[in-house]
Amino acid sequence: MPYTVAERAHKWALAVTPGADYSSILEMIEYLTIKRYHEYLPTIGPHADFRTRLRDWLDNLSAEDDQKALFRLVPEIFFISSREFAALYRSALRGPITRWLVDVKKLDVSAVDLGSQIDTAISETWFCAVTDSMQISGFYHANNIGGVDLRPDWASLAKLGCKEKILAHMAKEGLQRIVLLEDFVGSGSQMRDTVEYVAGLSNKIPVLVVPLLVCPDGVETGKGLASQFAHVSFSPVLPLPANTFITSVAITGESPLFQAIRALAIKTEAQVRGVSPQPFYGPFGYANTGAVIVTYSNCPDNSLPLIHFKSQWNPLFPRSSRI
Amino acid sequence: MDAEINPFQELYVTETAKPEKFVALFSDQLVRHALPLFQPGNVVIKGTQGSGKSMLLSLLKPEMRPAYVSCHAHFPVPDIFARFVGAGINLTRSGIIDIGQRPLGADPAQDEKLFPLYFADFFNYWIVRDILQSLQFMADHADIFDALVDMKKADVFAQMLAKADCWFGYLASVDTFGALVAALESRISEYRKFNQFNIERLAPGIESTKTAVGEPIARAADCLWRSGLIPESAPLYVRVDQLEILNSSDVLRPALGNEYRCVVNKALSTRDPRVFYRIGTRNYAWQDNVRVFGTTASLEVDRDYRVIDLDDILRRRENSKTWVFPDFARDVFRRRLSYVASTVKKKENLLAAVMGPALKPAGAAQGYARNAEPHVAIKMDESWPDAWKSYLTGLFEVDKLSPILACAWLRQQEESGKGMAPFPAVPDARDIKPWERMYWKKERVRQALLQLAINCVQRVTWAGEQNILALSGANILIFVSICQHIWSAFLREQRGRPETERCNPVIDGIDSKVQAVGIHGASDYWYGKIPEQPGGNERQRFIDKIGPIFREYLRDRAMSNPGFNGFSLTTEDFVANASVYSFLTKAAEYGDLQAVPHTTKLKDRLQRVKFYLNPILSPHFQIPESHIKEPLYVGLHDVISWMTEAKIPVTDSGHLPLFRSLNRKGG
Repeated sequence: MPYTVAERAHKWALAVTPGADYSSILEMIEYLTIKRYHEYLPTIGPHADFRTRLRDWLDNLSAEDDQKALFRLVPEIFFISSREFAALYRSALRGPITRWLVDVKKLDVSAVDLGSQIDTAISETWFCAVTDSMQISGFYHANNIGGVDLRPDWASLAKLGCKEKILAHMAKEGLQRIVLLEDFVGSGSQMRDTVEYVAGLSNKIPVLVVPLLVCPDGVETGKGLASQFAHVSFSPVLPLPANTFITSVAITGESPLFQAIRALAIKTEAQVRGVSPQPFYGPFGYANTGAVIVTYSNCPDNSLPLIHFKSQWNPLFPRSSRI
Repeated sequence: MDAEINPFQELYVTETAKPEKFVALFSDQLVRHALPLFQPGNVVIKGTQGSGKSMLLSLLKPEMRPAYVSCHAHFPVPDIFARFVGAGINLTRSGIIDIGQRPLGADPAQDEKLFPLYFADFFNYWIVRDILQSLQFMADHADIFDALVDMKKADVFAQMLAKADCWFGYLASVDTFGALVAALESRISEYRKFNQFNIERLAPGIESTKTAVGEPIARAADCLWRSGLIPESAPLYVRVDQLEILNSSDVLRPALGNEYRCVVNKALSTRDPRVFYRIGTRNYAWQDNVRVFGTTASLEVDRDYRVIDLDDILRRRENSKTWVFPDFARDVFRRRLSYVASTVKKKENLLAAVMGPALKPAGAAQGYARNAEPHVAIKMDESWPDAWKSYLTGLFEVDKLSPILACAWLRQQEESGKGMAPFPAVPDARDIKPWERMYWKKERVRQALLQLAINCVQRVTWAGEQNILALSGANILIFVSICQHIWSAFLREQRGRPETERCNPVIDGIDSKVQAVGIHGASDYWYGKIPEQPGGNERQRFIDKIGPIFREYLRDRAMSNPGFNGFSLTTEDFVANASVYSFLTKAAEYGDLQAVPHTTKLKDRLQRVKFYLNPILSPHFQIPESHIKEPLYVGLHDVISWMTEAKIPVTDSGHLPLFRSLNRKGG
């Protein structure tokens, strides 16, 4: 077996493989290794670097065709770095949040001072995270929003908070509405519990739920919450299309690579699960989401476990588990 | 060597490089072929993108000389030609083509007439100012220029020139060298301010003092000599680089660009014995327009100018020993490596040391068929006798290539009807095998390797010094690009290794598989670049049409036509349709196709032109780059059919009024 992944990829590149240019894939992986993957927080510190993890990840499997499939999957993984998140924070404010503020405050979009009216509306709005996974301070910094002392995550508040104190705080600070942000929403189950709590504070406090990235099931959950509560709206920044997921059921028009990865996920389920204290949600991840997503801060458990699960299996992006 | 540095990362090192870097990286191998540049007379130096035109023209810049001294390098121009004054203009960077982007007045028709006149005026002022800057620089470095410039005469020179009637009084108040420089710069600045919309209109004094192209430059040369500022033995050379920007780019409206081109032609047409122009241009941009501004006359080669055709100089001839390109490429390679790692300076042929020889056919065959079963790799016909099948299978165990050739030979016998009844006997060990005869094998070995690679589901690979030189197609930019891609692939492979296990490419060489990957990358890169040039989309579609046709012909298992990686037209057909002629000529001038006149081996003995893909495209289309035996003979209707299928407009226009041979020397 060649020593480095590059040697392997070069060998593969010299064989005819319709639809796969291993040399170009390697170039892309090298680029992402240098520009993006080094940011992955769970592997900062005394951990193997990305090139080593990639080699060990491929070596989980002995069949060359399986290794090729894993290798081809790497550039298909949607890795969202801190820079992309900064762009998402800004898009959230300039897009869905601003539109919602115009709606709830019934602003005249042709008004000369619309900008200052929106600024005022922003200052009356409490921007909070659904869970502590969302770096809410980053949202404030990227959008230059100041003057907000408390920026709690509502999943914690729902467990530990006191409704009266929360309402008193909002009244004292002049906060008339709540925007709940979340970096990544998979099935939406976590989001649903929290939003239900927030919606129950008062039906006079409008609530906007803004996931930065959301899977198809999460979109359905969000829409359900919006129809359940008249004062709750749901408006994601980047809903992820269904054909970017590898679920147990094939989607029309999906790439041949995804078919190969689906088969591989099923075939390697036992090997990936191994013996581990962490909960294993099946070959397609939590709620069978089949996501192929990694953020710089962690890999969601909705993503394929073969990407992130730690056991005897060497993961490419080891997940830092909450549980 | 540093595991992170690619010595070829910067593809273009041209006249914009710092002088010391220029000295280190400029290969002087072509200077002896371009000596007319340093002798009196107008010279057009032409070549495809990256052929080295601008580098050679840079030797005319005075600032290069001190760099050679400070680098302890010998100025590559022979001493007897090295005493000159050089000045010039880069049409892209000077801002001269901004003229015409802003209307002058309310009447567009009037503007169209005036723009070429202002273009000529800017051209004159820019170059005269550059002459003065060169003189000042040479005077400031008198020890290097052997006191060629006597600045004590500078003010006399300025007064003489300022009084010349060519300026129409614009310089009347100038009486010192410094004032002359300031006046010239002021005029250039005025044009730039206007083109940038920083002023409402050009100063009225400019409108009434427009100069005729070339005249102030000639007067400046005359005054230089008469004033004694420089000796009469020192010629004045004026560089005009990137001429193609005028009539073959999207930067200017075609009509206006053509008029500007005519203005430059007019400067050459004067054949003034006081000033000699050096025009740098790409092939396709020269012959299209040689009309002289304001006349119906045209420039004439050898009368108005001489041509240095870099592509022609570098092109491979029948006698490979006289081929200039390999030494040029080796020198460039050595300089690139020496620039990033001084320890590699002394080795003779670094290119061979790093890339090694091209893989021998047997070795390449072994690589393709390493894991293949005989029946998969050889593809014998079911109908063949078992004795042959058994023989070929056994042969495959010791030689992966010979059975492929043997199968082709057998099929040829079958097709020609020779010896098929009965089937030829299986040769014994002592027999000379007919498919191993020198010329029969030599002509088919690349085709056999191609077919073996296809059978074994492998890509045809190129590696080694000779292959790299062949794929470069005598173009140094392509050569550097191939090296860049190979080095990138090498670095990618090295990065995953612990430092102690990394290779030194100069000592250990670069593995042929890594080279093969890099070369494929370079080929794809050049294929992707085709649309970047004007008309490139059409040429890419045409190449997309013919590349697979060649490959399909080369899959012929009888290997009856191993030269079908190109096509040939009679010259009569070639010129019969203006669209076809123009398209194929442009494709050759842009370097996407190679066109070579040849004589047929058919009884008609007609003159023909054969066309091949640029060799660097061969890996992309997976066909051999070598030109052997006869190409595919086609008629005009075949080419029209390919063009039509590639959605390239073809008109029904008849014969060209005047046959222009592709083999013309004069450009």
